[in-house]
Amino acid sequence: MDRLKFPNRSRTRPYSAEAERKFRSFFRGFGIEDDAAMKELIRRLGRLAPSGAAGDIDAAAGRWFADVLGRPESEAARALAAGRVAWLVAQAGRRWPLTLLSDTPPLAVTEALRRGLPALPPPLLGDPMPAAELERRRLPSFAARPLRARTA
Amino acid sequence: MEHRSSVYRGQAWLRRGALALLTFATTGWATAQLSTVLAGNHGLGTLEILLLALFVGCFLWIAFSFWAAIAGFVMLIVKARQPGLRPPPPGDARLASRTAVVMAIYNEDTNRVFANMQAIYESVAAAGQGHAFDFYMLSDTTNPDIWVAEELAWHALSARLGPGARVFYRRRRYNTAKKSGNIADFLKRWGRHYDYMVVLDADSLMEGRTLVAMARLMDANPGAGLVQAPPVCINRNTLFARMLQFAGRIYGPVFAAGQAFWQMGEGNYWGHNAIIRTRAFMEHCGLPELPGKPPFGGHIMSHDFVEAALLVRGGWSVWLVPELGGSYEEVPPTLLDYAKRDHRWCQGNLQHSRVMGARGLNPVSRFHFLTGIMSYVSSPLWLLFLGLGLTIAAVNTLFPRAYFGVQKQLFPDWPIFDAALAKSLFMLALGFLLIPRLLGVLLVLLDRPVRQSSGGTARILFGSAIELVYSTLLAPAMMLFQSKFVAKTLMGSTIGWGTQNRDDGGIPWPVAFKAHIGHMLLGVFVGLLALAIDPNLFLWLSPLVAGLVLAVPIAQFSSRRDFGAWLRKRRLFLIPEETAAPPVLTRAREIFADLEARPRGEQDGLRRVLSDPFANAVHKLALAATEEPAPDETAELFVARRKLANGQPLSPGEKALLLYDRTTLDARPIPAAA
Repeated sequence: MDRLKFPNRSRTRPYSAEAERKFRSFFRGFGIEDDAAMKELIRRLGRLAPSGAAGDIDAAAGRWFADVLGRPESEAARALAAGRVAWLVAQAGRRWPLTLLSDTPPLAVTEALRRGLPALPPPLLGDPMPAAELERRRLPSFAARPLRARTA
Repeated sequence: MEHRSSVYRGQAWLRRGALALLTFATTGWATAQLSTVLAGNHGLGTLEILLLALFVGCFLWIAFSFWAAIAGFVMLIVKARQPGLRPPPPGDARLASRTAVVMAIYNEDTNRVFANMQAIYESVAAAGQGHAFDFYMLSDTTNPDIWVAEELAWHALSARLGPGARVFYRRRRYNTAKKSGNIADFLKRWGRHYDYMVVLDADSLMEGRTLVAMARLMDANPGAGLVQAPPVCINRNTLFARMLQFAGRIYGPVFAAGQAFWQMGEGNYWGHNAIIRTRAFMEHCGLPELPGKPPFGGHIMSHDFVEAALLVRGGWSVWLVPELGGSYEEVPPTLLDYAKRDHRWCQGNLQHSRVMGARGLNPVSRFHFLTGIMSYVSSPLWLLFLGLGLTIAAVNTLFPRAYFGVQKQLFPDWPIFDAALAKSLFMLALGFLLIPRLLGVLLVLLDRPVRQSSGGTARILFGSAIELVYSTLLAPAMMLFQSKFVAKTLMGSTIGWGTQNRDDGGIPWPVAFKAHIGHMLLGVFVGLLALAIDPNLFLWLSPLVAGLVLAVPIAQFSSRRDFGAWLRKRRLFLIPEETAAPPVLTRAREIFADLEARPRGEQDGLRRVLSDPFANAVHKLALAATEEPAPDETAELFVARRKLANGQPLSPGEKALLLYDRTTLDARPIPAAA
């Protein structure tokens, strides 16, 4: 009866046990310790990155942090890295664990994250810096001519 | 394209011409006198001619320094401004230009460099122009533990400075071309975001008002490619370093003003504490790798001279502006640290022999290279000069002159030795060495605030006298050190570009003994030889002999911090920056003391990053900020991962590799006890 009412979640969840392990590991890195919160966050992330691949997890979380921090989506990777630091500085994992990856994070969380955000350097330009020419001065033409040619 | 102003160039060549004339005239006169002394009544032999040639080589540099110092003294007395360098308009207008302050670090004491950076940052903010400056810690650190400590220190600094603090951290994975490569890497990544960059060394400190003044100076002089603020040496406590600081503070201004006098817009770059126009630097100062093997081939080690020469070749002016003030650095704490640094500089300067003939360089730039080379090559020249002098004396003693020739003669051939002339020549050389120092002392004595904050007239005079004796005793050992460095470099030996010792630690007796045993033995030999030849000769050579024989105690005692502190209590070798520390130094010390008092946490960088989510996050942020790619899946990486998994010890290189490895960094959290 119970099985009918509460079907085994593992059958319905879109991610594998291995992916779940990775999700758990990922959230521990955000200081999430509470079990109930962990389950809910795993559910959310499972929806966003069902493959459990590290790249997909980071991309999903990166998009969320970029949105929260007001950064363009192209900077998702940097936003995730900076956002995670800000999240840990604000101790948000303990204070507001369920706001992570939520559709509408409260203003207090957004502000706390932005406050704790370390400044990042401006975009990389990748300019060239041509190597200077340090060839020796050319000898005067008469000196450069081989001796034999001059004496012939 | 020519960016330099034509205003000063005529005058510059006039000044240089006058200096050259005086230098050659005095050298010519002195050489003629020596020639007369040596010739006596028997003419000049091969040895004497060789001696004269060496004398010319050595004396030229002394004479040039002397006349430049005289010019510097006059410039300081009349408070002359540099023609051609337009002063910025008065007022505190908001800076519109953008400047990056970049500090290149390499396995340094993390707390110290971040304390310095914070003090500079705050000083700029206090000057009201914080908006115009960004700050970069450019790390070439190879020790993974220091690397992680730097990242955490960077984040802590950002947190202390508050939201929006624009202090950035970047570590290079491969420290190609050392410091010049580090700066070039910064320029390629972010250079175009800024009009100027101020390059700092790990021990540099600069007042905010100085940085602002430098940016204004660059704004006012669009043809200026670089402005160098000569740094004052501060913050050291050993006797050696305090005497060096004192000498730099008393005599330094005269010499710096002298350099500014003849260099004008074709000046030199000292490698740090300078502001540089980024566009000009990026266009002209990419350094090539020289063909061949080090020490003469490979990467250019003493890059600063070359970069200044390339800027000038590119049509930009390079200025030394001694009056800027507020620019500081530290000196090596002991004689052996100083010698170690000299070895690196010697190798770098001798490498310039490969560059100084490069096409299109300004003659003044070539002269800078030559002075840099001669500052080391003059030591073996002096050594040869002394050796040859002794040989001539020994030959004359061992093979006495025949007073009567083979032909019958009534009167003997008395050897003629013009003692008065020899004495006047000696006095001239001594004067050339001492007068610039005396002028430096005079300037300090005339400046009441500086005089009072340097301990007062009596102490300045006494300190100068002691410093003179000390530097005289030190000179022979330094001459031998430098001669050895020149010889080693010429023989192809290379020295690494390591971290400079910045701690006030003393030299243990065995270390001093090992370093100077050769000097002592040579001193005893020369002393005995001179005594055997002529007791008068021994007296003439006694400063040299004493310096060599006493090299061990000199090195050991001068390295002691307690002697330095004892003399400081008695207000000897005092510099104004010790009496009243500049605000930026005071603040840097406060921050450093505060940082040192904090618990250090896990010292193993890799373990910390893998066990502490916060350290992990900061580390990954630092990697993401500079878009460092993950390492390739190499066998080396595989082995490092296995070693980590099995709890086996890892080499620094393996730790560094794992600190870039996404797989390792994501395998979190590893319990702290693992």
